[in-house]
Amino acid sequence: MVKIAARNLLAVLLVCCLAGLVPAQNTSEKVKTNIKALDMENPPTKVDVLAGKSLALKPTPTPEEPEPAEISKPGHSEATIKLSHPGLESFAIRGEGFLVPAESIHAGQSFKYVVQISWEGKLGDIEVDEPDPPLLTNIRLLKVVPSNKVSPENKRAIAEFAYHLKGLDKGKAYIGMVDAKYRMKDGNGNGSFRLKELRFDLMASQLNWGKIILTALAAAGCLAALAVIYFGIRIIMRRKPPIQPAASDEISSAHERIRGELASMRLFLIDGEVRSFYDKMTKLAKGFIAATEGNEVFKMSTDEMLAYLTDKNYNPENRDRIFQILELCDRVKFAGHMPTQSESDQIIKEFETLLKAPH
Amino acid sequence: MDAEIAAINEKVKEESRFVDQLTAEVGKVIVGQRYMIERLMIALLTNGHILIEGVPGLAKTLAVKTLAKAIDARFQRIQFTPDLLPADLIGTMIYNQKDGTFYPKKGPIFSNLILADEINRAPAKVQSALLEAMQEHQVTISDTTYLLEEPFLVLATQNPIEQEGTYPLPEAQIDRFMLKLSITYPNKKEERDILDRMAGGAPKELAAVIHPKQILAARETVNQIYMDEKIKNYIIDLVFATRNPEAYKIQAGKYIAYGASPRATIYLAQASRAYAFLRHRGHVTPDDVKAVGLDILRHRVIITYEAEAEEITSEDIVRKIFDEVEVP
Repeated sequence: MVKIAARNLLAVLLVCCLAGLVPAQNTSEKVKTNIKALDMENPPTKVDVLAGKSLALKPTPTPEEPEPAEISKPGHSEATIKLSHPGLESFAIRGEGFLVPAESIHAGQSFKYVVQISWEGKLGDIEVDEPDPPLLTNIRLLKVVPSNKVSPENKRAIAEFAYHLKGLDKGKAYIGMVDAKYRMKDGNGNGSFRLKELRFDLMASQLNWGKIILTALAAAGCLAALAVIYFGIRIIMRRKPPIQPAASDEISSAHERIRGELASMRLFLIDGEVRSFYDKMTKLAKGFIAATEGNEVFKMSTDEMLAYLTDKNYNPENRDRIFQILELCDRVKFAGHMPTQSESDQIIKEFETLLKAPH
Repeated sequence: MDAEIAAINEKVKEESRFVDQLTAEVGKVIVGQRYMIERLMIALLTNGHILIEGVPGLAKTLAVKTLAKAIDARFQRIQFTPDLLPADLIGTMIYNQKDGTFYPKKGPIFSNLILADEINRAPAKVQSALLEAMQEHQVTISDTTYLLEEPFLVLATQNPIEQEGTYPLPEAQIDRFMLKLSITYPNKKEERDILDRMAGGAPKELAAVIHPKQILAARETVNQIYMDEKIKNYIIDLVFATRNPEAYKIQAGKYIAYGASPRATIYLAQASRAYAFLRHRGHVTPDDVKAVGLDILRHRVIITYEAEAEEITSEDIVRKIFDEVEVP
């Protein structure tokens, strides 16, 4: 039962995969077919597109064997003007469309197709309806920006519709006809204009420096953030942990050990190893402080330790006793002082008192 | 041995009496700067030279001038400029029109205490002329070599805030300075004292407390100060820790390009002895080594680019070494 179910599932998956692959493989053929079916002399209008007649053009194919455009200069298209009232003739209406930049447009590049209708007179004389966007092939419409202005050179009023476009792939590109209507403000007449379609070649895509810079900045930002995190962690790691006061049972065990070692130290004196006795005594005294203050004290000199204990509000009586012990040890170790037997006995006694004293 | 050390202790106590008198006399004019005055005396007692890094106006000139007066020594201040010539420093041969001969005109270096102000502003040949004089204690003009008068101490200054158009001293030449001091601003109380003292009219007249010959005699005593094997080993450990910090469990190897030279070992021992002398002791303690260690080592530990990038200075490294190397 399970085997059959698994086999069926496998079969379904295989069919799905094939179904997914076959259309993908045939897309280009379909596009070609649709292009062939397209009447290039009468390209579909937006109405047609909306009616679903040219929905097959969705992949924005390049028209096959494009006819030479009827334009005088590259990226430029003149409009055919229709007037419905003789009164409109006095305005000398003209229409044109042009590409900005006019030439050398690259795939992936943003550019403009500017549709202008101009007349002699004031802006308020004529009202122009926003034309339907033209049919675009191998081009994507980004936005339409309408504007009105007056040309200071020839004093013509201009209604302008700037189509912000973006080239898709290298090869042929096509901008369909643009139809629009206009009317006199006083309602005495109206007319229409039709801009001829425009065909041109999109060149191979250029490096998009804007994108590259943005990507680089984003990457640098990520790296900077990582660096901040890394150095932050390092700074935190570098901070010396505060010296934790040892637990009381640890202190007492350390003191027990010191007491035991102190008892055995008389052997050094008996053997005549006085300097070894004082070396050991220094270590014991430092070990005694380290039991409560941490091992850092082993790296301190006597004066430094005294200052450290003073800062720490260490029991002054114990501090002075420790200083006396260490001071004598230093004299023996560094000043060649030969201590008397009574001095050595006294230092042991001082240490024993220190161990018994409250901390 | 015990008796010998006791004798040295006594001798030091006797001979170092002038230190307190000298400090008191200099203190009449100089407020604070005890650190600098002590280091000047250390250099005098050990035949060393000092490089000072500090912003202008910290009484560097006044301190040396005052010390020179107090020890009855001759003082000269030389402002190092880019157009200074070696002859301006050491002297030159002058033509005598009367008898048609050349005679030597000695330069300002023929003094006891020299303040070489802003040494890094002069070109390399002037710097090397000074450094040669510092090392050899002699100067050659034309074919004649002249010995410089003892004590001979050079106090060179560098301004840390203006580096444009300067000729930084090479590391090898910086190494010839026994101590490199870093002078900072006085504290609030000292600043107030300076204000009161300088507003009081004419500066106080100083009396010579000692003669330069006493300084030379004290040098002999300083050399006799007892240094235990443990202290010697401690000094060696400190210097070796600058070269191989990992061996002393100090994580600073990647920050050190070059450790301290053997000259550092010698100077560390000498300066520690002199410091003990200033404290009227005939023996050296680890505290003496620690007191002068930073001034001896800070210019001898050359840091890596990595340390510079992480804003770790040679001072930080030396401090770390002193904190981590176990005291005997």
